[in-house]
Amino acid sequence: MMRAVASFSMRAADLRMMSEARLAVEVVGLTKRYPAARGSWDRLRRLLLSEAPRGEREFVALDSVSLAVPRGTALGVIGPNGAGKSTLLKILAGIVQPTAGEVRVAGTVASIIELGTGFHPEFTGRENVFMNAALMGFPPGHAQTMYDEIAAFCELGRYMDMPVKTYSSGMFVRLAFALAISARPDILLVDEALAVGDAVFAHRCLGRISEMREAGVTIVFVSHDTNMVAQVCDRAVLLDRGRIVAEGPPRDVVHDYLLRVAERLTTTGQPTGRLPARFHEIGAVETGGETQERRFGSFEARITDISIGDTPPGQIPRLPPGQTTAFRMTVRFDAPVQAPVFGVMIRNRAGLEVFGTNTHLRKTPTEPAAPGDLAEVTFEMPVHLTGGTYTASFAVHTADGHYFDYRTDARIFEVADTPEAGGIANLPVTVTIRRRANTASGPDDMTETLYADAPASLCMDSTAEPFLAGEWYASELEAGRTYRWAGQHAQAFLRRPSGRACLAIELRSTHPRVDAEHQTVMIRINGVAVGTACLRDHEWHRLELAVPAGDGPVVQVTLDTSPAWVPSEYAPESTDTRVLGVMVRRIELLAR
Amino acid sequence: MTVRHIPIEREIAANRRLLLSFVARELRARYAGSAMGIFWAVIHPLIILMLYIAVFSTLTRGATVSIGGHAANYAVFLCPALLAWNWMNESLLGACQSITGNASLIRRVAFPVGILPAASLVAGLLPFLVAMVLFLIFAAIVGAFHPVSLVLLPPLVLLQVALMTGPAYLLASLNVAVRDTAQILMAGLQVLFWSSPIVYEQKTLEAALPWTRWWFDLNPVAHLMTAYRDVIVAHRLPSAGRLLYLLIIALILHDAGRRIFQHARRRFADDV
Repeated sequence: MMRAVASFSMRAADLRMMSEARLAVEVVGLTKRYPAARGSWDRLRRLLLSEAPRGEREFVALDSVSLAVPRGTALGVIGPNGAGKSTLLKILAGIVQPTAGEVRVAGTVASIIELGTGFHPEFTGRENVFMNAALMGFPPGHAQTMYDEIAAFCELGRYMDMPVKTYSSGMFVRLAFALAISARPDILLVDEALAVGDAVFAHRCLGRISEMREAGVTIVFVSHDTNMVAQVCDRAVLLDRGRIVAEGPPRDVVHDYLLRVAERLTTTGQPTGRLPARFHEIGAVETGGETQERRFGSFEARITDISIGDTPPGQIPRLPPGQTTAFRMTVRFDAPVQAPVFGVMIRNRAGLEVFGTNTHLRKTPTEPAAPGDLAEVTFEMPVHLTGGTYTASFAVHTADGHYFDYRTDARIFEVADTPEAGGIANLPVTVTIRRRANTASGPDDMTETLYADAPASLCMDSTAEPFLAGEWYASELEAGRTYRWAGQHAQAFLRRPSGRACLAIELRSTHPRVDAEHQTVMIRINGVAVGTACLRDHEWHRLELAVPAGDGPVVQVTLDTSPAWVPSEYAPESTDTRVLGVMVRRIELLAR
Repeated sequence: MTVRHIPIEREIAANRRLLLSFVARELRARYAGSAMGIFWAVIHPLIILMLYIAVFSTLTRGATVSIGGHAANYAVFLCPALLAWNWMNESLLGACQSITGNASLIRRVAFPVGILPAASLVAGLLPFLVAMVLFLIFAAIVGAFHPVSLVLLPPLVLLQVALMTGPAYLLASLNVAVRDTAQILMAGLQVLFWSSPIVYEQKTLEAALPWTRWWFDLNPVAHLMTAYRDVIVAHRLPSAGRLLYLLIIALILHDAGRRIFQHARRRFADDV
């Protein structure tokens, strides 16, 4: 991670130009060549001579790459291994120096590169955070703030004080990501890192990346995960052998990438038998909807007809959620195919793969096809999706990845609104709520943790506040002694003294007509009724009750009062609508 | 694209906190966990010292060595040079591996690599100072201490820093290109140790082998060690010629080291 000052000689004029153009990153004709000969002697010659030794063979990692990333947008970089993705990111981060070309980076940069950022393996997590804060030029005071934030986000606990060489790759990424976001960079560079984190953390990171993007941070995101690129990025570029071969909306670029992968599978050593390896691509076939079909394959077998449900061609199917619907394709074979595989894929509007399956995965037997054969394949499935627009893709291919015909986003369909559910999948849900008898006696573990520091005696002033639950009102003063109004159901938590104990409680009726309507207070300890007080006057009473034996350190005292009353119901001029039980001055557990 | 690196001095000044954390780290790695901590910096030379005393006093039959007419026992004679040598030895070895040893950082972060060889020099300086202070106390006890040493020692230490800076940056760069550099350096330092007047007196060897004189005249380590003995054992200012020679050598090495390092650093991330 760095501030983009150390190794780029950026003139003020460049900066001004870029801010006018509102570009965060601009790369022009970027080339990086690594010498192919990597012996000691060659490296020594290169060290001492300015020029590269003549006739030296070179490996071209990046070849005249140009791109521009407007401020506040997210660019996805996809491509096969060795395409130059990581080299590009390292050059943007200022780690690697380009051989030729210009790089302009406007703003502070934070990067997560190669499983984590600049961590010293011998330093602890904490030391690495402070080291990186110093690297980024933050003063020590700010580093402490950053550290607290990082520790809270990555949840590594005591591992923060252990050398990072003891971390798993997942922990590495947690720390690296937390560090990168706490730096509040203008530009965030992320390289494959999220692939190794656990799913929950990856989800949290994606959420944070989206937040950062909304806050105007520019993101360059390198990934193999085409789904993630489609989800996170505004635009994408496809790198192959050091060149940008496609650029545009993520869905199109992802499609291009998949096409190349399919082509390479067919042309490189995969057992494809006598099938010809010539590929065709048909782009942007209008299908009437807002989506555009992309189609590729060798076309010895062709998907000639597609339908969803009973909707006539040319109309967009509108499906009620959960309706069982037939996704049907007709395939025409122009060559003999031993074991064709038929597949379907549903994507949402953002291009995220929602559901896909094929006959090979489902082990559905398919018959060998001869030239001239027609096959009608129907996938019948309930559309358990939330409301929105989806696309269906259809494919016919072989089990080892030779594509005869792959029709991406061939049909668009809509699912009617589902106000009862959010997300993408609309799983069939049955909700049941039923009342259960509470057979457990006493506070559970969580209660004991929450009230671990409860005192044995509660005087109803503000110090009692943390140990009261249920309905209580603010403390008041009467003749120099504090008391509170309890509501109808009130609880207090106290520490159990060692040995046998008794509960002492001082209370008084509040009811204006207590002489006619006696107030009774049912007192329970850890859910077990230990006594009932029947109040007939407005005097203070002190009750002492035996506490049943128990072993938990925390005792729950429950007061249930009936009848409770509301002042405004008894005095027409009163606006007090509190439900009042009894007045309580003190609750304590005494050792006996 | 033109890549102009900022001068190493400015890089160090801008990242001084980072440099200190690397120094602290290196010292902790070296001494943390051991029961006696930084005192190993003293115990280690002490053991070597006793070994040399055992060997050399047997050879010389317990005779004292005379430096500039000032008689001192062998411990007082040997210690200043041995401590200075240990510092040079450890710092140069550390600096040599300072870039390659932090590969994981350099590959992933735009790291101010210029601070790394400097951190090795500073990490060696601290144990040297501790040992030197303890030695001066010892010298005071045996009656071989003079306050003038305290005045003359700091400039001499600075001179040694200046002498080591160039080689430190040069070796750090070379070791990225040729990993054998560290091994060659270790062998070279052994040769330099025995061909410099550290455990023996220059006069003694010159008397036995007159042709060694030209080597001692050229060898900056010989001049440096003699200068330490002048200051600490003989309590006098080293000769102006000696100091001037050391200063010129330091400037030449410094310039060479800096040029090579600044040229080589653009490839560090590619090659480590």
